Amino acid sequence: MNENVLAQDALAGGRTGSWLHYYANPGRFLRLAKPVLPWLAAFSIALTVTGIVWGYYFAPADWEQGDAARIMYVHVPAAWVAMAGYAALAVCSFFSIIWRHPLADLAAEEIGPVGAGFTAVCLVSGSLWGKPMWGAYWVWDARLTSVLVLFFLYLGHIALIRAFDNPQHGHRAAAILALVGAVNLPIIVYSVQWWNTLHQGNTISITGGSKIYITMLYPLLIASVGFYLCFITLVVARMSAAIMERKTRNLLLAAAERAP
Amino acid sequence: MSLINASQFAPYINGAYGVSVVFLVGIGIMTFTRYRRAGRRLQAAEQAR
Repeated sequence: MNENVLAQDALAGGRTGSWLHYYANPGRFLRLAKPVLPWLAAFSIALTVTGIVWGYYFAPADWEQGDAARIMYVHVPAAWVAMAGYAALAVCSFFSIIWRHPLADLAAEEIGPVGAGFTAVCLVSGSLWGKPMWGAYWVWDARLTSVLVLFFLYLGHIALIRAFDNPQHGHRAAAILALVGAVNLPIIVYSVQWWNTLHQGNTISITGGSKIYITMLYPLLIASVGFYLCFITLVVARMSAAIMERKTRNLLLAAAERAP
Repeated sequence: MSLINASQFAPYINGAYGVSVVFLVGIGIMTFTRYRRAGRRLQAAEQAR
């Protein structure tokens, strides 16, 4: 009886593993990504341009902050993507450590620089918003500091993944860093509740009670979806390029070995 | 349509949008170039095989 139960569990585990390996195959990923990429790029450009132009020109000025609140339409989407990117990095690192799949390592390697870029945009745009509102480009506020830590985690991940002669060692060390660093994500989200911060509290809530008027909410959501799609498009394109580069290297190596 | 450049915050707004647009366009061009180059090199290596 017990043996049967164990055998069923093992079979279920095997199915889970094979399912993951089926969809995480680099060749299959390349074949799936190729037709999807132009559509992803078109939608991400259309939504990002719409959101940015709407926010810059057509959205109403804030009653308190005036036109300076327009920075929200690039700052908030960049911040959300920076955090979502790090969450994706942590998930890939988890898959890499548990299943040791090369596609998870590849995804983590390509997410790092894109996520760091979005975090830098968030920090710079936030700093440019802070100067007219707070009178300072930077304050050691809990929200600002935790996002700066996120930026350094991204930089550390980028450096660590390339720091070893054996790439597998780099991927393993970077995956551990990414998983440990994931503790920073709830700190960023709840920093405005846990500490007294100069940074304003959360304006938009999934559970309801958003404190933003609909004429400002629409361009913000469109810009956010656009930024998310930009991130996905960039990561998928970079992963596809990396797979093709590896295939080319393997073909050239095989050709060199065959040469007399 | 609002007159952003008449606002006292114009340099900050333009700076924030400028940084965002330059980043998105820059990383987009770099990624597209890398993708195209990788595709061409793979095609050339497969033909040479």
